[in-house]
Amino acid sequence: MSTSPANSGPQVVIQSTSDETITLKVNGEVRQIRNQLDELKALLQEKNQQNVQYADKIYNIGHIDQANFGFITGKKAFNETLTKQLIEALQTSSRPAQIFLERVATTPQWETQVRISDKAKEIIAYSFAGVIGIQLSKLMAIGKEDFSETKQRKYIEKCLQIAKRSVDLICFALISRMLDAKAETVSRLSSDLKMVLQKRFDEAFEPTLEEQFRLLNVLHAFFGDQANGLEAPMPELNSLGQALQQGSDLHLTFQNLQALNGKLDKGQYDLLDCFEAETQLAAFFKYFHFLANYRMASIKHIGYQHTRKEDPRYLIRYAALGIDSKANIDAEKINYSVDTVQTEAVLLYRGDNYRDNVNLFPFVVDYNALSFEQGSKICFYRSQAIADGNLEYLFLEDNSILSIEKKKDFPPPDADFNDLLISADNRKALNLNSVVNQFRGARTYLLGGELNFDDL
Amino acid sequence: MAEKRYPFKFLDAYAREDSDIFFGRNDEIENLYEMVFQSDLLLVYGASGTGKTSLIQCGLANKFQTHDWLPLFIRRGSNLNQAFANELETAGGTLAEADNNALDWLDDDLSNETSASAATKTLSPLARRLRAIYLRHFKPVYLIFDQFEELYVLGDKKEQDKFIESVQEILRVEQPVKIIISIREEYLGYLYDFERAVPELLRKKLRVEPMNLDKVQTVITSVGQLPNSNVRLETGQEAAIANQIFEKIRGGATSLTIELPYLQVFLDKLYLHATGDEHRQADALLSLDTLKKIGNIGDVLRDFLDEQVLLIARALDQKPDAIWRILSPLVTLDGTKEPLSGPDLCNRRPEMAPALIDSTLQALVKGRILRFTEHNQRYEIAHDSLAKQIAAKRSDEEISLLEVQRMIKSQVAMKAEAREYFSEKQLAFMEPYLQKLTLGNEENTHIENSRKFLRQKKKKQQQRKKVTYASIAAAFVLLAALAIWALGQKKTAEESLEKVERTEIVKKAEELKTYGDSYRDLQKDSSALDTYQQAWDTLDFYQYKHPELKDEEIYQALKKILNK
Repeated sequence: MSTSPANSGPQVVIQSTSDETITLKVNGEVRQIRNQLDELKALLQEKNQQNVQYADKIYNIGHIDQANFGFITGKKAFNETLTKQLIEALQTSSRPAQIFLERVATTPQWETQVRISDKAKEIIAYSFAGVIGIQLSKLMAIGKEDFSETKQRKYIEKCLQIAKRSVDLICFALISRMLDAKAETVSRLSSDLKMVLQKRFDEAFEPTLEEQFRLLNVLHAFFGDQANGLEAPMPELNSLGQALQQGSDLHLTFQNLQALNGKLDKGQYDLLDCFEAETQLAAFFKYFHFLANYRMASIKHIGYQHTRKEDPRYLIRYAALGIDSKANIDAEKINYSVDTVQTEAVLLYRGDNYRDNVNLFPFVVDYNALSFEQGSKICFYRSQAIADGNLEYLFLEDNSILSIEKKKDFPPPDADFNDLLISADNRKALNLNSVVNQFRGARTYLLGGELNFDDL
Repeated sequence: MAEKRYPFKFLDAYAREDSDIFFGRNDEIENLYEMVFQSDLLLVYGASGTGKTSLIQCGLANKFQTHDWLPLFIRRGSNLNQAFANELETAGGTLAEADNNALDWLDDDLSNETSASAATKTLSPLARRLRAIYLRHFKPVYLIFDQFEELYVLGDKKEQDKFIESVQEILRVEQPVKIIISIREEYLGYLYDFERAVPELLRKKLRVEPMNLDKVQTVITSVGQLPNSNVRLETGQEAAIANQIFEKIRGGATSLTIELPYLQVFLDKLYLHATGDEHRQADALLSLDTLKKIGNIGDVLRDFLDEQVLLIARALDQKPDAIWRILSPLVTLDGTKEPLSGPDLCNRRPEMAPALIDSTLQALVKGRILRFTEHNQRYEIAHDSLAKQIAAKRSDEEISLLEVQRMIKSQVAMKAEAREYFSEKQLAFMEPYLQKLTLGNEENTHIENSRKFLRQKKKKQQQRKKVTYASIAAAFVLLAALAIWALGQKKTAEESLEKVERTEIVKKAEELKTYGDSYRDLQKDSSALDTYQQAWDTLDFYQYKHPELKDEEIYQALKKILNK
């Protein structure tokens, strides 16, 4: 949409904007017009120009419409569109969002009022499932930063990350549910699904949004086929049949987001792309806002209590994941129960009852829980390293890559586990080995043992 | 090509924008960054001059993207709680104005339908402020309390307790708020009460180690390799240069580490030696030869300080002692920094002209010995390592003066009901210095009250002495009277006893005489004589004791019978 300014560039340069006016320099002469697209277009027509320069970017007036014009002139804030659309989409899944919309019903253009809009952002960030809520709050934070080149890049990047991690979360939930299914069910996996799954397991690069759409599509088809007798862990997915078809509006959204990814990679983005990213993310959540119905928790520790003539009980210490999750041991929650859950688990569950959950491990891991630390370090499986086959996870907080490798020849075949487990380092190594073992076990269970990474 | 930059920070801490010249702390940065996700409360500790502030302000800061952290750096100033409140206010932690009642519901917790308003209204002002900041930025808030030892060196119990309460509250708030406390390790013991109230205080802590040779080598070689640095190292000599620098700073000491301020001041000195450019813009090529020329350096920090003080004294036409005296109040008795405003300093030095103090302060800032912070209008020594040097320069009288000041301040800082009056010994110690101090009303009142209390105490003591002496005299008289009376009583008793005894003797003699008379009537004369003799012997035996027995009738009768 834009190019970098050249010597023969446009003569119309936006110098500053306010709510009411735009100050421009036209062939060296300072002009002031009302902050309206029509007036800008008229001015350019008068000067026989197609382009207008703002900051260090040149925009073709043909690419500017009423929707994105406010974004360029600063009249429309970052996240304004997203916040409005997201809170409206959320009203079916989030009671706070519903109350909010009832209260602003009589306030026209509430999204332009910072205080009200901030409240909506707060509801959005707190409503979404664990780590997705945190990512949305980061997007809000970027939107509030002063305008800069970095801000634009970070904003587009974060919109893309939110979409990618949301799809990851859904796909990992579906794959995890398949892992819990009987072998007979798994045996019905189509070769098409196996091929897409194998790519997800084995690929050395992060999947593109287009690839993620494809994975979601085939997984959805498997769960949608009643003959397989397997229910999706998220019933809301059942209604997405049409949306997940090739050529659908949702597919187009994925493609648009992918296109933005391409611009980002080439460093060819501008302010209009930020608006585009925001718009596409809002379109994305029109379908996936149901994630607000879900919560996430990381199981930190399970204790066992069994006294004479009493029923045994489990003391399950877990950390709720989300903006309000605290890193202190005192802030971790405890469930004293007759039932237990799997250890080393990151759970996704609907509503408040975490007992009815899907365990996302080993696709989503809490590195701190694996290393017996407090707080949570939630990492999503990304890819396999080309060089050594180590598993690469994305630490969502800073998008850094965390490599998990299986410690070779550990534990030694003749090891006495009573001695071995005394050392915290050994316990941690066993946990990390368990991630790799579980991952490879999952792959073998779903795809058969076509490739053995131990041979690498 | 990027503009060349001078790669040394002298005594300033490294900030976020100094990441390209901050070296040698990668492990610590990684560890600290890991810890941030493991606890909401972190403690960074280490000796003075190890670079704790730089580690956080530059190292950790650069691990975060700007949207991932909202750091609020808090220094105590005159009161930590006040400084904290001010910082929250600046960051947008203002409580919602009551000018738009229609929007009050925005403060409600909409997820809690039954008690929406109540839930938010029960939030403390601190929790509401933190929520306001979060809503303004949507970033995790990092409250960084730097030079935390000041709370214990300069603060009082009340201030400490209030701060602990705030921390307890912060750890309970819903928003993502983390606390990082940076403290000199020799003050760790002061955290005892804090840890009892907040057990997680010491759970996640990082010790910042002093710079060893490896790290110094990393710093020096990295600086030399920086593309936009105006300092270069002679190719092939990098490790040897680093080694030489390390040795020169270490001097004759056997320590395996050196303090960062010494390294920084030395590197600056080396640069000036090589280029002579005080603007620090010229290119410098450091080599073993440059190092050789600089010779033995001794205590680089002390020399720097002495040199600056001398220069300033000369420029202001003063004796160096005057400059030292102005510097002195800016350092506590323990040798740590004590930030003061210009007027505060004038109050501490009433004998010196404010104009002289002001021009000296400006010169000290220019000479990089002092730093002036705009937001609280205070001067402070550029680094604790310098503060130590200044403390070492103090005369005995100066030390006494500061001790007096501390004694007074520590008492006045307490609630009136908790204060103790100065003892006579303390007042006597303080008296010669009081004229040299400018004390506040409260301080003067406390000293005056102590004197009054002491006078009253003395008066009471004297009165008590008088009463005691009188009591002793009365007791003596009483005792004497009692003794006389007792003697009288004793005599009476003895007389009574003697009377009883005499009566008994007489009675016995009379009985024997009666028996003698009976024998005589029976004409048993010899038995009668024996019995009379026994009666006589009875009387005779007691006669030495009771000579008055001779007056008894029986005595005379027996005397006649026996012809005595």
